[in-house]
Amino acid sequence: MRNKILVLSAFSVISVLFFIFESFVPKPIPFLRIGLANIFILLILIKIDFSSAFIVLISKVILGNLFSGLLFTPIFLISLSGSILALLAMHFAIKSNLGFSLVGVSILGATFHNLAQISVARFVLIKSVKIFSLVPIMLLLSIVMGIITGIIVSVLNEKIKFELMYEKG
Amino acid sequence: MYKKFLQKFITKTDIGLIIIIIFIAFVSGFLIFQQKNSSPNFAICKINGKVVKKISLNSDKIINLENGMQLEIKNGKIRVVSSNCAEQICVKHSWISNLSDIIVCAPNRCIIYLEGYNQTEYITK
Repeated sequence: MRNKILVLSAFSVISVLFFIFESFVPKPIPFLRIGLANIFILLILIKIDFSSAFIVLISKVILGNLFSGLLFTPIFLISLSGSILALLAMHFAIKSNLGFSLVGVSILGATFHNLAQISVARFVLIKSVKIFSLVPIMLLLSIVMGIITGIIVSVLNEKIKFELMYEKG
Repeated sequence: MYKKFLQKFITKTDIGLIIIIIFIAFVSGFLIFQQKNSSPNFAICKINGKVVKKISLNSDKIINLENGMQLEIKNGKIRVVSSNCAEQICVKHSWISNLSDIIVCAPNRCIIYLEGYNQTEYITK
């Protein structure tokens, strides 16, 4: 049990770090980023289980937004909804046994993440239907970002081998 | 060599997914692009920078402005029929019908342009 908390904490911290680091990288569309933090959430999803990944996700969203000074802003809601939907999509993609590789799951996660973000942003940030004109280019960008994060996840999946001993402690 | 490298990462389902997403992107892009070029609904006439008339393009009519200009609306287009200016550039401009067209009469300080309002914008407000 203690091991699991340590591992989840470590992954949470790394996710938060990447989250904050990404907020300094300028992007064509303001709140759509590269999503490098999702690498670690996906890793936990594969290696442990859904609830652990959910814990890391919540930590990333709350702590990441807290340290970026965005906790009580609309951006927090946007971030939260995007992350949760992405996690659900990736979880069901893996479970569905349709033959997705990690790259495909990443692409799916990135796409749903951005779709949810833009949908929530329409209600919370930019209250106009015109925001949806960003959808086509956002979809194409999601594919690219998904491929990048997917390859990184695949590589890390092979390199990082750990077993969690639930019996100890 | 690269094919073997890629095969380790990407499966056929992924390619299918990518194709589907690209397809959706292009279809939605096309629909959005079509919306942006939709035909205008109103003609706006500004004299001295102030909106003097806002006319719907739906019905054909003839409108007389106070500065001696006469406008005609027909088939969703508008033109200046007659004007009291010397050069008559505005009259020679003839019909305008696109969102990017304007008619200017400098001596009268008058500008006529078109605007279109999508129905959805009013509903969501």
